[in-house]
Amino acid sequence: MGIEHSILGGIIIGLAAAILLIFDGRTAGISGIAANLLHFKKGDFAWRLSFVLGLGMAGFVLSRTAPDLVANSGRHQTLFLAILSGLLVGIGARMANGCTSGHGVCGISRGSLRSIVATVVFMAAGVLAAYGMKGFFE
Amino acid sequence: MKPALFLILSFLSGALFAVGLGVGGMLNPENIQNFLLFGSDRWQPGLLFVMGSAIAVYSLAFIWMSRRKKTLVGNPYSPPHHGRIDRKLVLGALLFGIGWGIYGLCPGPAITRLFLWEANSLGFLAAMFLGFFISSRWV
Repeated sequence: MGIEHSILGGIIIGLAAAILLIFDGRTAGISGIAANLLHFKKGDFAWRLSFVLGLGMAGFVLSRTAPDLVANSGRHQTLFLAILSGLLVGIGARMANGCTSGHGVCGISRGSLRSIVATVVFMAAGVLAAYGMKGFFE
Repeated sequence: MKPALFLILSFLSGALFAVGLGVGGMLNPENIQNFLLFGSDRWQPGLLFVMGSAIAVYSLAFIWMSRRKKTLVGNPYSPPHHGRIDRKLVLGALLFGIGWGIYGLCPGPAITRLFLWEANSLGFLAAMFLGFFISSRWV
């Protein structure tokens, strides 16, 4: 995957997040959008579901039209590790009130110090975990 | 804004987000894992360029809205307040990063894989929502 793909992908992500901002002043933090589905608040549910379905349905269309883009050649892809990882990601994202999209893209763009700190911390923790996995399983 | 219009825009935003993740290679856990193996022979800078260009585009949109002080449909816009940096933020980011580094998925790519009906992705998603619930209840 070349650098030009990374840049193009990032531009598309930036535009996608900007849609929510410029039309309704909302932040495209995916963990926040998804997590608040659990609260079933009237008037604040449908748009979240709509966003999540947009993600999921586009993912499905990609799998049919450009399967390379949804390929998974990751290491250590076991169900146990998927569940462990998902649990940590879910708890952590809500505690930090954001994830890669909300802090890493939207927050940093706003110059939020909180988001910069969160991004530096989760990147550093990710590096440690990735090296831990490499050391333990390989 | 008319609720129906905002539903359509939310759907488009989500769909476009998924396409961006796909084009940028961020749906494949291998590319995340390799990025995080910073300093090893497997390291790939892809994520840095994806994030950098997303930030560049979103920053422009943010500057535009901050100057306009109104959204495109005319509602007042003011930038969100910057909260405090506290232990919860740092501990949360730490847990999030460990989870991310173990498997190579974060919420966006995981939800994008929802309708691929992969046992592992569904397991990740179910656990992630359980994590959201635990966090909102007890943390």
